[in-house]
Amino acid sequence: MPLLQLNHVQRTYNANSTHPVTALKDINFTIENGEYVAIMGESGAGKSTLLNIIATLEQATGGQAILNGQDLGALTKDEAARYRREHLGFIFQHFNLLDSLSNRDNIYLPLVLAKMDPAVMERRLHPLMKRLRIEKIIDRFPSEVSGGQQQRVAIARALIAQPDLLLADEPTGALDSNTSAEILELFDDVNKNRQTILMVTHSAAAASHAKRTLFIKDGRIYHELFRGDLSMKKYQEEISDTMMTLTNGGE
Amino acid sequence: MLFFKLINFSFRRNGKVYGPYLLASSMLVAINYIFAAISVNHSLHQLPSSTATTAMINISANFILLVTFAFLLYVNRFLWQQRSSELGLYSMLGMTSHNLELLTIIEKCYLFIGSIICGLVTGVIFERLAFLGLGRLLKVHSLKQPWIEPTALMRTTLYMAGFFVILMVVDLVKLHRLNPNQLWHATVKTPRRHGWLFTIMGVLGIVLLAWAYYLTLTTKPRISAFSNFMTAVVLVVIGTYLLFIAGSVIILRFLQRRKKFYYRPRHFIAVSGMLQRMEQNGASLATICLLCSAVLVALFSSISLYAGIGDSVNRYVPKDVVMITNQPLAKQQQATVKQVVRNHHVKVFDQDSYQATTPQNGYWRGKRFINQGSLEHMTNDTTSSIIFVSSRDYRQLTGKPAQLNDHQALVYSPAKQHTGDINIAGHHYQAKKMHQLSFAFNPEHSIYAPAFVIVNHLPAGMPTMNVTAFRYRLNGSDHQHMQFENDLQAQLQLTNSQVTGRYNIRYLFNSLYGGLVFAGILISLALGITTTIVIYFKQISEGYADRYRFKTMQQVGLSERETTKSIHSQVLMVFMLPITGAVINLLFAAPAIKQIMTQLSFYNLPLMVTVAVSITLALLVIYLLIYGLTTRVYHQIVNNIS
Repeated sequence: MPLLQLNHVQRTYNANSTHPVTALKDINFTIENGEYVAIMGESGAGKSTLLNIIATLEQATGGQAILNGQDLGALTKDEAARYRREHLGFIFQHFNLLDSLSNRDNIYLPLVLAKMDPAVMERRLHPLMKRLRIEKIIDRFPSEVSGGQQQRVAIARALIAQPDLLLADEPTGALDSNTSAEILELFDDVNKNRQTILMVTHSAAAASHAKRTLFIKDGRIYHELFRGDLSMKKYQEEISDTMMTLTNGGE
Repeated sequence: MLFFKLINFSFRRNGKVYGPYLLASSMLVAINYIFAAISVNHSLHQLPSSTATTAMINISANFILLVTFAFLLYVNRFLWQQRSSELGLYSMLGMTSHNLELLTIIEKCYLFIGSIICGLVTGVIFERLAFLGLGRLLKVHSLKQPWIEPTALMRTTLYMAGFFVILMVVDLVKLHRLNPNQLWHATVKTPRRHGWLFTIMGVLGIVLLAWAYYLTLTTKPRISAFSNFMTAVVLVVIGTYLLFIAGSVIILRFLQRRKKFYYRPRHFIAVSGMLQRMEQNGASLATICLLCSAVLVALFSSISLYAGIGDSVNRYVPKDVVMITNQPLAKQQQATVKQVVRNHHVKVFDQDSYQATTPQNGYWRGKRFINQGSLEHMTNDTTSSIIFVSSRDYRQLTGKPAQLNDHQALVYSPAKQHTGDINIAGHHYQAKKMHQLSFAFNPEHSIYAPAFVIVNHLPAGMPTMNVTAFRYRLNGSDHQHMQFENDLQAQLQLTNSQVTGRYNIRYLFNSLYGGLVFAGILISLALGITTTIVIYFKQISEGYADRYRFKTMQQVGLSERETTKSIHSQVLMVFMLPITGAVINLLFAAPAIKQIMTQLSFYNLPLMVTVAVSITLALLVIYLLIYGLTTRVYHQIVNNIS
């Protein structure tokens, strides 16, 4: 059974007004356990809406989104919140760390909300800290460390709850190219440990790290690329070409 | 004009801020006007007690001016923070600094004109009401008030204009110092790390508060009681600031280190949120706490004093007139009294007369009374005075039996009680407590509470005095009563301290304490308005800051219900902190205030407790009301996430 399954997902805003806006028309795809999938598209193509629906922050107006056997459309708001903290991990473009919490407490946040025992939290943090190389900054505050380090902390926060699915929204959007490369390598590493990742991005370089890339345009899945045995560089070129045709309209 | 359009737009956009601000500043202008109008009132100056009343009104007027200025400065800083991004945007769009200056000047003029017009109109309307109230409190009917006092209008307008000019200069200087980039981006604050100095500050805060509370708890009714109290006030002010700024952070840090406690959802959000708040807002919470304390203490002491006037009058004159002479009234003096009584058509009854020792001032050391003699010999140790009355006179005056042997005494003392084996001026007595003594009073009107000691024989060698007291009836106004009492004193050629009449004393107390209550209420009102605005603006600015925090928390799995719950518990905690502090301050201030009241011949403890409890409850209700209203605004801001 696939981990995530989207069947004819639709999202229309202001459905009852004279100018309804359809962000998603008909989205169908599945993601298997352990996959690393990128979603690409231009601004306004519906990427964020799609991500929000999978993230339970919004609900589809048509079709079905099923994650691990759970129909996301059937959750109430409070259930959705609980579901988020138990099954999903988030990484944002602007990190979204709380400046009132130390890095350590930021990472603990989802576990604290899940009322976990502090000793367990510490046990879980220990290996993560090593893998993400944040031992030295763990007791500092987000505002005292660099952007790359903040994003590592954010990754740790997403992974500590051991989510079924890691959702990343432009994770390298606010970082310079060197730091971006480091973060993307971390993602590869995380995926090697059987963590399923779904990443939304603009950047062909970021998408080239994924094993599969979905292209979205005007609310539909427009194309799909598999990396297969291609080198990362070759794969990146292919992605760039596809984006180019996508932008220029038509094949 | 583009500038006026921009300003109008800005006022409308920031209505949540400007509305309450204008309301508060108008009310402060109104209170300023009321005080100014009363201090220039003619009819008040013609009252015999005008010096005391006007002095009190003038002091209060100056105090209110100070409060108004502090308020304007505080709000101005807040408005600046709110508007800086807007000014930054204008600057980015190409406005020169000259344009921005003009914009600032127009804004200030708007605010000035708005608050002065609304304020003066409200002031003129409510001044009549206030003046009526003052007349009631002073219990005089001869007060007249014109509709408008031009001098007061001028004075208030001038002061306010001066304040706004200062604010304008402050803003212009700030504008000069900033570049547009800074204006646009609010700076991100890094959490501060605190060294040992910070810990010392926190500890010092606790030490100062403990010291202040020790002072108030150990205050004795000596001359230094009032200065003692003022020292305590200064200590409390400094201590509260230190405690709120440093002490709270230290406590929260401690809680943070206790993992089992800290890593629970409610505590986690609350403690980290509080920590951030206290770092930024410790000072403003301390200010709220002190303002509430000031309101409580001012209302408590002035209302208790005013409510206790009846008691205090009884302490000065147990009947309607009391005369103290060295010898019993001579035949000639008795004839004079009869003459005056006839002239004023007065009916005298219930007259009696007895001999007692003059008040012996001194202090207690354990069970031993150290006698210093008359008032001229008093020192800072002096706390009480003792008056001996023979058991024969006691039986005669009260009709009650007093079976005493020569080593027994009955003691009546409204202040501190001393019973058992006591030693006064070399005499040992086995003292028994009396709960009531109808003729007890304070003959010298001194600040020392008199204790009456009934013994078989007055101690030898102690100077004595003769007390004559009577009640009288007169059909006429208060004024005629007072005239009779004054005439009696003049005809008998006795001094002011020898003859005391009930109507005169009551008039004195009314004008003194009435003015005090009046000033106390209006000052509390001004402080209350200021406190409300400080709280309100704090909530708004925190709402904007917390918005982003709660958004992130919801993204990582905090449900909406949990958000609401944690918002409430957090806001409530921050809210209850200052008011709890204020009530604690009142609790500790009360013993010292009680001692000071004792010096004013006020001993009614149940009345004081009633007053304290009712004003605390009233303040709590008002406070919770403000809490409810401001939390709603906070909620709107925080939940308006998308």
